[in-house]
Amino acid sequence: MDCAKKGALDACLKCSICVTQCPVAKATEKFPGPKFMGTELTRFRLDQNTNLDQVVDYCCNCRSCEVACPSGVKISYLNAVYKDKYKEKHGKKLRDRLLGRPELLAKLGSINASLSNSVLKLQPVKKLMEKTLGTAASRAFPSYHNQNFKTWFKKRKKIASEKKVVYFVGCFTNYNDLETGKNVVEVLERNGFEVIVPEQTCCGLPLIGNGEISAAKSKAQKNLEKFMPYVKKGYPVIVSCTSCSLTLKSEYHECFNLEESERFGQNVYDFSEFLRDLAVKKQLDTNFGSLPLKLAYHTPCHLKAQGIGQPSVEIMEMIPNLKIEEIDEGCCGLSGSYGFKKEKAEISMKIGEKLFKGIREAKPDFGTTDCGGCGLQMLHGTGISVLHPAKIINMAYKNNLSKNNTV
Amino acid sequence: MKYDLIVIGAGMAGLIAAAKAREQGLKVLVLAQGQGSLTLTSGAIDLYAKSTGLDEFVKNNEEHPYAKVGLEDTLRGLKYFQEISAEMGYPYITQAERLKSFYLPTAFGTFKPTFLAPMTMAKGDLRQNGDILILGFQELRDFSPSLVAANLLQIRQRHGIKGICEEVKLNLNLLKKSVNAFELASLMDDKETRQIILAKIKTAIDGWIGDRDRAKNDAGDSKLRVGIPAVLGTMPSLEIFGEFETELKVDLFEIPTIQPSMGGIRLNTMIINYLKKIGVKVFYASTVTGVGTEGESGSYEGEVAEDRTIMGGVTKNPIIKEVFVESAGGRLTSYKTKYLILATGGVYGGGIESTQEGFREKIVKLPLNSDDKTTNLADESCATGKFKSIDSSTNLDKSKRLVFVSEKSPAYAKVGVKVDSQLRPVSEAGALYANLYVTGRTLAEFDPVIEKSGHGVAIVTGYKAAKEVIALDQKDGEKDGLR
Repeated sequence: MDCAKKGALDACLKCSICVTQCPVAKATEKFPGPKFMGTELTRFRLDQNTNLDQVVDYCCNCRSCEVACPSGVKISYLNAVYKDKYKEKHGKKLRDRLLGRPELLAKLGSINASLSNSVLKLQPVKKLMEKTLGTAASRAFPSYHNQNFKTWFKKRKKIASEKKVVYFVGCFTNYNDLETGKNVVEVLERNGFEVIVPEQTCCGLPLIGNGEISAAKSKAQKNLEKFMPYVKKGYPVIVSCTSCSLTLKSEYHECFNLEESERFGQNVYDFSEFLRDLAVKKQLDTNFGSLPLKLAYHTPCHLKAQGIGQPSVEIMEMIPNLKIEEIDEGCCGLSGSYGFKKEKAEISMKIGEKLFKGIREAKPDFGTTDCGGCGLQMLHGTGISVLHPAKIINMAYKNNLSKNNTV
Repeated sequence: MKYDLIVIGAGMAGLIAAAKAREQGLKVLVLAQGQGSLTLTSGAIDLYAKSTGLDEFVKNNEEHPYAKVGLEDTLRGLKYFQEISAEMGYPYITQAERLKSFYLPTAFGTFKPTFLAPMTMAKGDLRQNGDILILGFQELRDFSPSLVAANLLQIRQRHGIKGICEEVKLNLNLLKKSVNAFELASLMDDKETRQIILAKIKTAIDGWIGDRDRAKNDAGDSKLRVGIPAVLGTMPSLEIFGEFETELKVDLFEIPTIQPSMGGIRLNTMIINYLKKIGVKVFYASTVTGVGTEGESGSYEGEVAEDRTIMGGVTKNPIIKEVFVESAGGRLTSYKTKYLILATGGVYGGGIESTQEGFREKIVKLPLNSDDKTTNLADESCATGKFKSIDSSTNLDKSKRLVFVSEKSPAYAKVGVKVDSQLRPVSEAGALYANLYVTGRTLAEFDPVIEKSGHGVAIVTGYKAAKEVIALDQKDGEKDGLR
């Protein structure tokens, strides 16, 4: 019966497993948990917009509930819809409107990046922002660069090839982590691919998390418009941030149900997932040089939700002398813009406590993870630098002096 | 990535199978849609309602999973589970007498026979003489100490067991006025908070003890037993239980609550942590939708074995080489494997799908015992609503006790996959696949509700399937000249 189909609201048996996995419910008494906020209250809200409670804002949309749900109910999305309805009725905070639009923030911040970075580090400035906007003074904001990834990419020499991929960069990589974008491109090119970076906009996840679903839908529509011509030519869509890839694969189709979103989702690949597929077809350049480092790996929640295993670990395990210790302690606590909000900052750090401890105890040279947000949080919580798997893989390639020998 | 063994399903059967196989050095992966339903259970391990009659039961029910596994491996499997629990610091114990059950109280004040009890619950056996005090908390939803005490008293009196059974309900003065067991257990995880709660409990118990004339227990002393809802922390550990017993100077026992049930949550955490410790990965959000086999119309590329004669003279049966997971976005992620264990549960767990056209096993499309259309699955004599009256020969006033639910298993409860004694799914021709084993609720011919055998079947069949995989792996290794 359709109503009991996987993902449907009626598939929820109220077993409460989701509640036991919710990192927010565990960290604070304020949040009653995904079962109550999600499936139970949705049943009341179906007809009317009643039972709108601000406390839904404590849901960080990590999707731990969905990952644990034995019936496959999309509980996190129910909460996102709820946030949207609440904000429609009660108004949107300026802070949340800004945090939902990282591109806008980045454009403002990048006007004079070094100035922005310096100013945003000043405690009095952060305290003022906390008072007026509501961002957390305890957090360090990610830095901006004067040159973002897209400008770097436009300026560099094109490497043409028969085999092409399109790269969905993501806001964090584009504006705050140019290094990862460079490594992604270089690794793909080393494997014989021409990388195309189409015009694109934010995937929309920050808007979903901040309760602006129709704005997120518009972003989705724009991205579909720009990417579908390439998808139709058979070019895979590569994404190096697991939150973006989950949104493109899942949300666009299952939640927005936009035209062509299903076909689009089927052609989206997490960066390491793509490399793993190449490896299976024996088309991956596996000439990795020795990289004698110890890494502490954290699985992002949004990677767990994709059900593709741990592809970056599989690739990195091919690198000689590289030691990878997985620190399996659940959500890091940042959840994108969530941890930057003053009322959520403490909860965010509490959620990540066990992970930080595990990383410190592992005494790694670096942390590593597939999500830029998680990387920020890991650094903030441990002081240990974090590298994206693309960087690790590229470092290993560079350590091997022989040229492209595909195995 | 290639594995030696993939287990589909993260329930009790799957997790135990994965642990056992891993200990023998196999590379094991568990794939699951979501968490297993063991999280929802009381935490106690049921073997069989009348467990002292197990030998007889196994002899008379040769299609039952316990018979397939055999009595010896049944007991070994349970012992194996016990060893894991001891290693993880959350020991489960049995009664001293062979196959004797515990009769533990429920949140209704009824009792459940069970075989392996966590230390935190084991002292609650109703058949022991001695006084019992049931504690309840104002703020804790869905647990009524007066209901529990009243019903327990009635049962004990009916069976001539000595000792009073009373209740005390205390107000914990929590910030939140209404909490469930998980929320309260989470508060208890915090040392400072629980010291405050412990002090309140101590006051309440001391106040109750007063100058009552106390009955003696089986050990001949008047040590009080205190029943508390299962909220002593969220983690599988005896730390909080030990703290409370020491401070309160009573014999403490937890009573399982409705979901979220800390007994089940701790049980799941315990086994998952054990798997982490020994190096088994568990991927959730990974619904397996199909398998790839070798030996079916040349659709598979890779090594093709010339001689597929494997075991017991069964020839030419195909081998499962990989499983497919439907990942986000709709693409399939493939995992290669040498052996496969199906532990996907029954209708509730998702392993058996119930449709208008009948039951089916979705992943491998295995035949079920319900495929034989002559089986009448709607056996009317089992319908609820039929009453059975029991004469009561106690000092209660000749009242007839009505049984609301039939004690006979409805035929649909026993729907599942038929297997041989090695737990391989079979047809008349023999094993259907050379390297596939089925465990747990997916199996045919048992009813965990009536028999009270849920976790028992899951554990022993998971254990047995892993043993079979290990044996097959040895044979394959010898064949390949590796051993």
